Amino acid sequence: MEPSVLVSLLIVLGLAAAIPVVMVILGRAFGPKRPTEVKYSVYECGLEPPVDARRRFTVKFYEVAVLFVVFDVEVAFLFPWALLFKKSSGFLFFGEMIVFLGILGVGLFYVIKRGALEWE
Amino acid sequence: MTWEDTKSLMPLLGPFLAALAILVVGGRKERGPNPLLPLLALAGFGWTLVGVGCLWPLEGAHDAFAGGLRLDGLGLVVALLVSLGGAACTLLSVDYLKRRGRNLPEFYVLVLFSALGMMVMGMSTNWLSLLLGLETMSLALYVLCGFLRDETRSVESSIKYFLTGSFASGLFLFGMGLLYGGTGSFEFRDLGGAMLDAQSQPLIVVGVGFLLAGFLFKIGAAPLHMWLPDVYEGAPTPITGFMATGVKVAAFAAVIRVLSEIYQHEHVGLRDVLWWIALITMIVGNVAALAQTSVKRMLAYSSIAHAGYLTIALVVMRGAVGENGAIDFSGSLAARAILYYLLAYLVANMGAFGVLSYLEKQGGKGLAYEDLAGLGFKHRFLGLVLSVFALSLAGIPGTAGFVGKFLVFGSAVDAGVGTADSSFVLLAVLGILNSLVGLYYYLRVLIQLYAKPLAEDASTRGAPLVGMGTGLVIVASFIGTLWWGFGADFLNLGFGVEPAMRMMQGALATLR
Repeated sequence: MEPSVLVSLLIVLGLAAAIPVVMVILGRAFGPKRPTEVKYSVYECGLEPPVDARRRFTVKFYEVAVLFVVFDVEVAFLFPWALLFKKSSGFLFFGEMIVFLGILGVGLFYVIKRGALEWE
Repeated sequence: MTWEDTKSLMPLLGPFLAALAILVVGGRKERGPNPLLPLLALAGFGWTLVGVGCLWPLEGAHDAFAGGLRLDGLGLVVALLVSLGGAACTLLSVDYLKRRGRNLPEFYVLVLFSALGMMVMGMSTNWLSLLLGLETMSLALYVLCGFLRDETRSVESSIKYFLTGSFASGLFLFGMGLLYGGTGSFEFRDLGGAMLDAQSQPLIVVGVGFLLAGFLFKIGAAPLHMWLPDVYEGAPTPITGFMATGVKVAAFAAVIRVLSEIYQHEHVGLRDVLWWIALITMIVGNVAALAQTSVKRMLAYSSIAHAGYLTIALVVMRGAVGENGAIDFSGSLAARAILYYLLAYLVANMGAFGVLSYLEKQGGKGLAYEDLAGLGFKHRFLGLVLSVFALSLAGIPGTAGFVGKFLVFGSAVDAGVGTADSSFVLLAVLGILNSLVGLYYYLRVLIQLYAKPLAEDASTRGAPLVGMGTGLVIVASFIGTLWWGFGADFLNLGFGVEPAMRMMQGALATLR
């Protein structure tokens, strides 16, 4: 890499570090300070946290999270496939994705049958 | 992918389709045992066996999926051994899970998927498909270890295996990354040539070191064996048997493939490293097994010792220089010995774990040496078969284990005699001394069976009748252990030691 590129990178890094620092200092120095009790309370989506976060959650949350990841990753495979489709050999290329989706379809079928998507 | 490539999927399709079918049939909210599911799993393994039978005398090898999978003799032998082990595991599990009240469809699905991963490992010729197989196998096994989720030891086994196993996968991946940096390729076959290049050599040496660590972890070789006893002891007994045999088959097949590339150039010094690993593994496994009070845990340590014996054959694996100067390993006695040893270990070990899964009581109890006291007189047949399995694992003549050990130590002597280097012969001698140590703890089983009085509560031990699946596995393993221990040759039946050896040689004919 050219040294000049590195120098300009360093300048950007320096600016990026300096801007937030300067802003915080300016806010501290010139901003008005009128504290109330509400302003100092913990903010969590508008509600006060009812319990400690370090407790056991129902396994359903994990189930949904895992299922989301599975079907999310599936889409990651679909995009490059769709991009290459025009240049492909046609039927076999199509068939491969159908097989892949079929496997995931069986997975989805199993998930629904097992009741993993029902909350109650 | 081409249509030709789909042919190499033939042996893999059985477990895969069976797993999908079980998911569809067994996926229900009400969780009852369904007798159809183990049958589907068996059909899956049967498919693989038939597929291997149809494809067997292979003319040449077929590289499929842009070199990711290789349909050759070694891959077929791996598919054969793994599906035999998987079918045995399924049969044992039916009775075992029924008694434990955990006869759920997911169990069979996971067994099928782990077997699928093992087969992919055995057929892989580049790092990516190797990793794919390894992870498919391992992830399914992590869950299977913890399948008896109400028992602390099963969950402990699962967690320990998962944490240490993921770490090993990390090492493996790091090694792969370094090798890719050094060779610019994911193919095994580019490894040998790239080693001569002085610039990339450091990367490759370190990469091979990391990869070796990953492999040694999976086969349970010292000093990466610490996880193994706890995991094997806590896992459901049929799974322990499958893990001990199937993972070894897959990992050793993959190691044979990788080493056949690395050994193209002898200057690497990998043999010296493996020499010490073989020795340490044998000693650790055997000495620790002496001190065990549980037969299942003893078998876990003996599995470490067996990994050590098999590593001897890796050390001494030699090939002949073929045309175009490359070394051809198809005639290697050591590589053949590994495959035969794995076959012998598979039948004896599945049988032994079959007997244990029958004897095991709730909470994993009933597997101490004392629990076997006098059992040889109460259950004559069980006593007899367990003795034969123990003798085979010890390597007593007349059993398949003896032939395997003879071949492994013989190949070491064969490689050493006539050369100035005495280290190979020394390793063989040390191996034989180690199996003498091993004799002690295997014979302890026989002493408990036949020389001790029946324990007081023996009447309540086990179920009154051996279940059909368990019985089938035990009888088949019993016959197999004697069959490939010269029994078939002695009685002039077909497919004895010689034909099996020819098959193993055929398996290696298309290795490179």
